[in-house]
Order: sequence, then structure tokens, then C-alpha cells
Amino acid sequence: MPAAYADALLRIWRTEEPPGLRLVGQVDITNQVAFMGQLLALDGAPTHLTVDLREVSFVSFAALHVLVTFAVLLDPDRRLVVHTKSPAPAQMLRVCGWDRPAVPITLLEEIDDD
Amino acid sequence: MTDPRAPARPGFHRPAHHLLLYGGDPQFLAAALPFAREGLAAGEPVFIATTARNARLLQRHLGRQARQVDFAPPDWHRTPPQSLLAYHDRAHTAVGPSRVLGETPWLGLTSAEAREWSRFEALLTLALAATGAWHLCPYDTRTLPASILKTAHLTHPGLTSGVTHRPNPAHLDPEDFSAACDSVPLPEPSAGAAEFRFDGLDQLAAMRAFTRREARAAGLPRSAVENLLICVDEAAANALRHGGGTGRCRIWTTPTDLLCEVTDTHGTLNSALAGYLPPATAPLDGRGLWIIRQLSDAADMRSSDDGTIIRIRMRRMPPPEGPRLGEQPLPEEVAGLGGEAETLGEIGLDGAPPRGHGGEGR
Repeated sequence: MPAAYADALLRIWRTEEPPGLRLVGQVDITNQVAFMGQLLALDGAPTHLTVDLREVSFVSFAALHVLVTFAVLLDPDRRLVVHTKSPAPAQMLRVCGWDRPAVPITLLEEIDDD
Repeated sequence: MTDPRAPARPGFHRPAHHLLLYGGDPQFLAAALPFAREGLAAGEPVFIATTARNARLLQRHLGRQARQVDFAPPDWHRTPPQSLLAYHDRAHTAVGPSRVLGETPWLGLTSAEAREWSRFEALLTLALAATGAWHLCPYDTRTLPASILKTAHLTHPGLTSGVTHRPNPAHLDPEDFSAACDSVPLPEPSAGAAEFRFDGLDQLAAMRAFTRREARAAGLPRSAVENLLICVDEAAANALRHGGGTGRCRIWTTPTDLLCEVTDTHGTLNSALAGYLPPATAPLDGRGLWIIRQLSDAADMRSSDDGTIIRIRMRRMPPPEGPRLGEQPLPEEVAGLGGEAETLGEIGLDGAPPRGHGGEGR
């Protein structure tokens, strides 16, 4: 399947099962608007949405903010499920107070040892 | 932004951040025990983060009541910004009034670290504003240097002795105190610092790759490398957005730390409070500096007409054992802080605070 978005740093694919996005590369200030666009294009999916960041080597603070903004806009009964191999997103969510129930993000971490 | 007024505890007419000087167990207990007992009797959450010895002392004297008290784990105090957040979150989680006995771990700190913990004490007053939290901060006069004890008088709006609580006439405006902390010159970067210059957003990925290489070479653990990348990315984005469109990233190491500094040519940072206070829940702007302070082991942020400096420090290894405070010779004189000049000089606050008052110019 061709990528729904591609630039020098980042490629984004739509996924069907589970519905959501798979990202490969780096998400930063140069492509965070495109990332938001791809998230908004998922609108209408009937269930929880999944964003797979396991093949992403860098997620900027602003890009994480994009995820939070999108999650807060979801219908009340839906959640954003985020897969990551980095401990950094959880840390950023915590220090910004975005780990509270008001932000419907479920973070699934697969952290490798150093 | 947190309300920058000194907090008055609900039902009280005094700021709720008090200094307790103690020279022995009786003096400590004479204040700490009634502080905890009165809180418990009023149904308030009581949290105690003190030395292992003082915790044991309180547990023994509180008897069965000790079970109602929440004692902090040994690693409760991490970096000053992280501790500021932890206390802020506790205060906001409590539904009504709450009490905290919080004893900062001063021993073994360098002068620069002690300065940041003093700043923490000053800014805690702001972070607790509009909460019902009442903090009592014990300082052991037997073990702490005179400079730390004297500076504590500048950072606490109230004084406690036994069951007596009164306003502290020596208290300085927290923003002025923080600005004075920033008047201490930063040490020059190492002559062998690696350098990366950037002038556009499309160069941030290459700057991160540069940073990753240097951090790996310095032996930083993976989690610290990731945190550093987020910090340096925020600092560089800040330089490009607000700093005139060009910037420079320099990285060097000391035996214990990696330092990563992003500079630009426009001084646009209001540094006295920049990134220190927990962001309010709703607004989402201006959190980049906050993230840098939370994810790093320390960060210095300075702004002048010449430009802005954001210097991020990541620890390469645990700090050496034993007291280091007072190791470095420090300037004796401070201009503009009146009778407390000598005190500030000893912990390195060797400059004048700005004449402006808190709350202006932001």
C-alpha cells in the first residue's frame, strides 16, 4: 500500500486493522501539520483509533501536542491508542498534566533495555 | 500562568510557606509535631518529605497517628523543577487544605545546584498560590552552611518557631530572587565544544543527529539521549521562531555531565520565571521551556540584548559522594540586595536583581 504521506523525514500509512496510522521516521515541527491532517482524515472511524509510533525514532514535543489535541477532540466514547518504543512520550504527557482522564490516550509502551 | 501572589491559606491571613530553623530534635519536634497533629485533627492530608532520621523521629512520636501520614519515598526530591511539579500536583490533587513538611536535601550539592534549590524554594511560593497547601520547610542549623540558612530567609514568606507562625520581613519577591539567580555568569563552554550551526527548520533533523552522536559518544543512557533530543529540538525551534532565525548548538562534556547549549542572536526570553511554573491546564502555548526544565537534569536560560542562551545539562554518571558545597571560591559582594548581600554571594548569587517588580513585562 502506498504511503498516505511522505517527506524526507516521515512516512505515514493508513491502517485498517486496527483503524489508525502507522508512522516511520521522525515527527517534528516540519511535518506536524501533515501529521495532524492525516489524523483528522481518520474521522468517522467507528471505534478506538490506533497510532503506531514503534518505527518512529523521534517525536517532538509539538508533535505529541498534536496527538493530545486530536485525542481531546474525539467523541466521548473513543480513545486514541498509541504504541511506542520510547519512554519519552509518557514522560511528556505526565509533566504536562496530559495523563489525566480528560485526555483519552492509552499509551502502550514496548521499551527495549539500553 | 499561576497566580504570582504569595498565597494566603484559606482561613489564614499569612502566606502558607514557612521556614523552620532547628538545632536539635526538641526544636524540630516542637514545630513539626503540632503541625502534623493539627492537620490530621482537621482532616487535612499530611505529607512528610524529610531526612530518614527525622521521618523516624516523627513516626515514633506520632505513634498510631503516623499511619495517617503520607511519608515520601527516599528519592522524592529529584531535580528542583521536577520537585516543583511534584509539590504543585500534590497541592492541586488535595480537595481542601493540605500540609507538607518538606526538607530539601541540601547536603552534597555544588554551589550551582544549591542555587537552583534555593530558587525552587522561592518559586514554590508561586507554584502553591491559590491552593490550600501549607508548606513547612525545616532547615538543620547544625549541618547547613550559613549561606544556605541566610538565603532561606529570603525565600520563605513566613517563619515558624514551635507553634508560632509569623510573616518574614526579609522575604524577597520570588521573581526578583529568581532574576538574581540568573545574574551569576555561566561558566564558559569548553574550548573543545562540538558545534552545529542552523538557520532553518529543515536543519533541525541534522542538528538532532549531531546531538545524538555526541550524546552517545559521551556515554549517555538511551533514555537520557531521547530526553536531550526533545530538549534541544525545543530550544532550537525556539531560536528559529523567536531568536532571529539562526542559531548555534554546542555540546561539550565534563567528567560528570554533558552540556548542550543552544544560542541565538535575539534576546527575547523572559528568563526570571521562564519554564519554571507548572503550566495552567488549558493553554497549550509556552510549554517548550517547561519541557526542557522537566526532561533535563538542569537547564540555564539567559537572555540579553546579545541573544538567548539555553544550556541543558544531562548527567553522565551519578554525582560524587560527600559534601561539595563551598568547594568553589565565590564572590563576596552582591550589589543591590541590601543586608543579605554576603549571603547571596556565598551561594553564587553575585549580581543585582532587576529593579522591576514581579508581574510586569510578560
